[in-house]
Amino acid sequence: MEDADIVALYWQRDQGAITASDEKYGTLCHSLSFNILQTHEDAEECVNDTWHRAWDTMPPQKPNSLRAYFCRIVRNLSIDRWRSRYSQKRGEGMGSLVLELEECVPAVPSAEEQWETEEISAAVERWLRQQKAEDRRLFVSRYFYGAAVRDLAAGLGGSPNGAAQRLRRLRQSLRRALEQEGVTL
Amino acid sequence: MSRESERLLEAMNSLSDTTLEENVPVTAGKKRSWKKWAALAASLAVVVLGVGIFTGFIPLLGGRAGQSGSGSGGASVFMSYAGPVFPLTLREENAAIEAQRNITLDFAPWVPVWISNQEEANSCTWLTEEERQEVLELHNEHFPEGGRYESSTDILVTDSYTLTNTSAEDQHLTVLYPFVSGLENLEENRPALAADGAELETTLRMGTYAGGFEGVWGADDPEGTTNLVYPHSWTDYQALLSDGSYLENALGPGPDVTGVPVIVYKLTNPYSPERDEEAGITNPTLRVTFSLDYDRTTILTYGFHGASYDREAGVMMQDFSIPQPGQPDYGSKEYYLLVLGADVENMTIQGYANGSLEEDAPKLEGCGATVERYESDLDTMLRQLLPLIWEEAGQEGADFEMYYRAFLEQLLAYGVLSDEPVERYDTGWLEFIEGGMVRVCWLEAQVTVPAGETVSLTASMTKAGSYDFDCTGTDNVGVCGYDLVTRLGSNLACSAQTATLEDRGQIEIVRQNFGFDLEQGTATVTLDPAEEHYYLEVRASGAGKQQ
Repeated sequence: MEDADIVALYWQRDQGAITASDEKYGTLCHSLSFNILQTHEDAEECVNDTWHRAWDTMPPQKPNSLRAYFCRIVRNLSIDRWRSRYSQKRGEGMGSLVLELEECVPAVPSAEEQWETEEISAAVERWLRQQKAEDRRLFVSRYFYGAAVRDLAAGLGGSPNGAAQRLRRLRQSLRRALEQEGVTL
Repeated sequence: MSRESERLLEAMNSLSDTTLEENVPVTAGKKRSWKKWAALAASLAVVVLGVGIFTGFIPLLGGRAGQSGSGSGGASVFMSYAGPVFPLTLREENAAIEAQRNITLDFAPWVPVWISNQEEANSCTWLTEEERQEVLELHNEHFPEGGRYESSTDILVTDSYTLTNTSAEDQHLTVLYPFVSGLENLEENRPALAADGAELETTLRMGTYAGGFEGVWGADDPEGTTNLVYPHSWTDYQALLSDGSYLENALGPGPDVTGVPVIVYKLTNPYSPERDEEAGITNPTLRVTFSLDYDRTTILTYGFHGASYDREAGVMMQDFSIPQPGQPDYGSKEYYLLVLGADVENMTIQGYANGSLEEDAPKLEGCGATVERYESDLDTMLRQLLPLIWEEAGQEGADFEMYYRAFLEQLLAYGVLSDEPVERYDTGWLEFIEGGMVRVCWLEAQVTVPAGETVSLTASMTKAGSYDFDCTGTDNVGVCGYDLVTRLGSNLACSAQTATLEDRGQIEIVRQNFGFDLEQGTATVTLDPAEEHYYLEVRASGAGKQQ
């Protein structure tokens, strides 16, 4: 089914939207979430929550790229869950305090924060455009989609160590690029 | 995770659609094998109606795909299984003691509590008045009715025993009360023990990890041992406890590795030319290469994070990135290779311009470290290294001896020192060994029952429900399960067992084998001692009709 048709189903409040989303993007979303969380149960739950979130947000949203839309949602949910788990693991330490205080952080980021995030993102985007297509794919696959190094290596036809080395080089290169652009984190 | 890397991670989420579309990983994930989404839209409607009423669905112990009413004896196999309530036991079986048990399942935490937006904002006492106002406005936006109802799906369990001394002599008992918990949430799960209303002083005894391991792709990967798999039904606990060895181990001393000699190679003050990308020095790395007989030597490490194992050639490489000026570990981090068994040979240390372990990795001159070789024992070394691992994991303040034992038991049972190490720990990197996962713990206490008299012993606890993950579309979404076992792991002769349900008007029963009947007012039932397992599965009253 075409993405536009799936979006239309969401707008029509047709439950088939979720089935179609899961059929088309379930594996990708699960894989992305699993790469972050490393447990299938948690990943499955994040994917479920992704469809839930999509149901809640379409309408009014009408994403151009449904794949990117779902991937962003599932990635955010997975990172949140990872943080929560990490914080629980840390017990009553700093992690818990941070988590508690996160309740006080407005759900909508401040205009300044939003602007900064977009600036960082734009700088990363510019840097990505300067990289070779293969390196670009390697970096985004790893740091957006969370793919495992050994899987990426297999996809590229090289060794895991080779892929890890390339990633290290790319990280260093990004760091330099961000420094040169005066982007502070 | 540092705030900086976290921001970068977040910023990646704002990459353009085009970038994300163009760079989908080429690695193909395996197909998932399930889905029943037909019921989702209906359940979404319920969620919309019930927003704010039920919260606190925190995944507990992992689990398998939920199956309603298909488990042992008709109980469901929930995706997240909280474990049963176990019966009290005695350290030494005592024929003079006769017991009666009544267990109360109280659904008081299910009663919704109103939390007003104003209350919520006022509770943020650390904020300025202006910020509190913003919080209030935010809450008013989300909850325009001025607040929300919140409740929990925990229940309060009171497991009471009347212990009667049928002999003419006082009986001094060591009682053991079991419960399921991970080490991280011990305080939430730990029952309070009282004798005749007075709180008892207790000692915690903990069992080993109660779960197992499975492959990354679950049933499709039967030989795999990379992921944790937690107990998912009471029968898993039955297998764990029925022969008594698990408890025996928990009551005994932890493993003693003081007599295990280790040869320590300690690397400090690693140095290298500074990172220089243009010169190709992207990640100055120190690699330690040595020969060993894999059958006679085991290597544990701390601080290393790259490795290559060539069993056939009898060679191992371990490496780490040399911290650069400005990095937190610069000049302070220590790196350890612990050799158990025959010493390694032909050790060389070589710098590389990057972390590659390939043959053609570019060598880097001007690298090195201070290497110290000495002999010690495994206990001394682990006691030295575990705090360092904790410091990095932010686990300060935990009970060292408790975690040390858990860590050691995990290492010996599943790590490279085990006869059958699992994939999860097969690197030998000590930082990978976990110690906090779910297990059966016991509270041990001393109780005296005077001759011919009775003592009332009570264990009170908050017990989480078992459940299927929200929106998975299983028939059991919205259903919470609670269960108990009547005899498992207990040597206490209970002449009678009863169970009482305090439903608080909050639930409807979906499945059970207790015999409660809310309509007829049957809230206390006698349990059959021949029935090992009782279960109660409920949902919020009215939720069934809504569905």
